[in-house]
Amino acid sequence: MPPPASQAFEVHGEIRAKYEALGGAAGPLGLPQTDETASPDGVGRFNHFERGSIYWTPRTGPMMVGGTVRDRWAASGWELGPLGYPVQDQHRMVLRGPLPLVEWCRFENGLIAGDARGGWPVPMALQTPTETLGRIAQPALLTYAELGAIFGARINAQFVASPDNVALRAGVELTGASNWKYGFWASTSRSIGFRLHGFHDNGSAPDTNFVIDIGLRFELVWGPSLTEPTTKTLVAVLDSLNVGHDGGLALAQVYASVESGILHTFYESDNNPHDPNHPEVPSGAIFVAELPTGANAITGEIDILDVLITASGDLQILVNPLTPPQQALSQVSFSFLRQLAVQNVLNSLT
Amino acid sequence: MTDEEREAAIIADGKSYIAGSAGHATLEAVPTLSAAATQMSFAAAANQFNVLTRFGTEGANAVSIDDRARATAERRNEFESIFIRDGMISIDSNGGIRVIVEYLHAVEVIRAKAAALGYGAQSQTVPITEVPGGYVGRFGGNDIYAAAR
Repeated sequence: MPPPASQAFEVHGEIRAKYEALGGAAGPLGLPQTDETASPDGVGRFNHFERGSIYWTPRTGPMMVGGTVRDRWAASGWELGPLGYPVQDQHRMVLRGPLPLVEWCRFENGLIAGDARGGWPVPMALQTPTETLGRIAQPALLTYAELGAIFGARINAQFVASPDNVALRAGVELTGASNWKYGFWASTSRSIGFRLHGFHDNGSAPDTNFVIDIGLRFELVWGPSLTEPTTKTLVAVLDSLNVGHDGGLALAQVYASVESGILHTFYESDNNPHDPNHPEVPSGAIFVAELPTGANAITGEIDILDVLITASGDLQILVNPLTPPQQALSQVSFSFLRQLAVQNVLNSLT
Repeated sequence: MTDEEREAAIIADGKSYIAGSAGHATLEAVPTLSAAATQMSFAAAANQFNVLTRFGTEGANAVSIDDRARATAERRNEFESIFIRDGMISIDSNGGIRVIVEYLHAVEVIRAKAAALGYGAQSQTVPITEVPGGYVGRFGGNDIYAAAR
């Protein structure tokens, strides 16, 4: 709906920058319909436009959401609802034809997908554990504890292989999930923290005990592709690392050596890929798993849309809840079917 | 009137219009619109603008007479309806219609908004300009948009 001609509306700051970056009045949003307005929670700010909105907070950045996806978000209570603020600009599946079918927007706590052709229902597909539990399907996820076990074992294997007299003690502590961080095109994901304890055997001298605090983010990456990739790679990105004294004989050299060893796992000194089989994994990250997205660039089908670390630290795979474009609407829960398939992939990691 | 009859009438109207203005000038004889605006009657200029804006200079000779006649008739109706509504009309140097009343209205509401927000006239960095669907005024790092009516 065009804004009333008797009114003028102001756009400024980060929202203006995003609006201009998206093409301004000539872009997908059209003309503004409101001034920049404070969100009811006092945290964020927004402008509504003819065909969408841009929401900004200091912790997420300015993000665009529109169409039926915005309508569904509005019905869930906007930013005060279970999904929170958008953390990535709404975007569409890239097809080999002129008609993108699926569009989606990721929020702090979930995702909404819609049919870009419009007029199709946007199903209950918010995909937060609260929304799906007991009604559609358990979301496909690895729990925080499972992630701790996976990465604890991985780091432990590195220590076992080390020629130095270092070892990890059993058990991984879960130190919590961080919040989203600012980004202009997409917010930086939550990271989850792990604490591991280890020691260096100093022979006849007392052991040097150390503690490792490590923060990881999880993202999907893929190689160059002109259409939606059929496979994406789940990677763990090193967000923070600290190795410190934990009792015994204090030896800075031990702490530095342990930290260097872990950093070397994520960063190659020569900037070459860690794994020649996975050149898409960027420096600073390690390969976790390959996820078949089920994307078909001709039919518009797609199963996996994105990943998310929940506020409680679980890694959730966000699947497409929509009926495939070539099929009539039915009572079949495609969220359920797709989440089951993805969960099988995740179970193979534990 | 059937669709076919309506189509034939539109084309006939356009042909008549072209014929009526042909004595003043031809497209090939007028290199620029500004020259046309100063040398031709309004009717001839309107026809000239129509041809240029619809088909471009190179394309003007390539389209069929019927297409040209149809476009001419549509363009003339567009001119007339704007003139009747606003009492004036302006055509820019590219042959586009610039609706003065609409523009003045947009300037008015944008400046009123700027004043309400405390932006002085000196903070306006560029003239109020047309954007798809409306107009924008830029006041430092702040943009104020108004829709075309």
